[in-house]
Amino acid sequence: MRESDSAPGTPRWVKVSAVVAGILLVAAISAAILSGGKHSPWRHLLMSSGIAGALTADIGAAGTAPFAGRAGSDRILRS
Amino acid sequence: MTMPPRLRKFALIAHVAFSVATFGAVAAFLALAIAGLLAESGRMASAVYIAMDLVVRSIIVPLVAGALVTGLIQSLGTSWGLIRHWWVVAKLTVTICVAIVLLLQLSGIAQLAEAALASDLAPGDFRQLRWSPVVHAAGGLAALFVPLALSIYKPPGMTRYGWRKAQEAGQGRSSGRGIEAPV
Repeated sequence: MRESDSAPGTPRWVKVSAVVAGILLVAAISAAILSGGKHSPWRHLLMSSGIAGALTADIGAAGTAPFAGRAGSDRILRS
Repeated sequence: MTMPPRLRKFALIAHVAFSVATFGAVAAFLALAIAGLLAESGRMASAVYIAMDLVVRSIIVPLVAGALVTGLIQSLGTSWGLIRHWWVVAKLTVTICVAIVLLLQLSGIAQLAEAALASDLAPGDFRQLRWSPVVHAAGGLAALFVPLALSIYKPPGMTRYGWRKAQEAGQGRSSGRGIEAPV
């Protein structure tokens, strides 16, 4: 039997998985927006670069030192 | 370029070991995260968050990196290839997403550990930050089932690139040229 010359299409399981992944992504972004932007991946990035003073207000309220952008375990291992 | 059978077996063992260990480590991390969230004692909460920071940095991050690297070696060193089959592409995508989310979580976990080192944490302290590792570890654990299932089932389907390569290999076979041995 002769093989088809045209490339195979994208399998159904890939299409379904892509739709599910898209829905999960939209849900995650919606959750981030609905929580006032206080919980999004960008928050972690901003904290790492040390420019998220306003976003870390809850830390100040808890009476602890603001995050300095370094690993806590480094200090733990040294102490 | 395909690896010789012995090396291929060794690479496969390394990949399975890293992947399975990641599963266990994330499960243990989730247990710690839940314990920290529910802890009523400040000493308990502090101990948990210090342990979580150590576990994530010294165990989970190296394991995820190891699983990713050995997975790349395994795919590039066999005829499965990296972008020839949809299940390999899907597995790689999920693993990369898990690694990115993990790296984004490190700062929050380190922050909790720093606070725990400074003083015992009260149950209401860092409420939002304490939920984050629970949610992300549970999500990560669920996400890690995807590569596991894909590796076992290997659902059919070639990418356009993979199909083209398979056609070329078929032509090579018919014209007498050597081709890679299938996995």
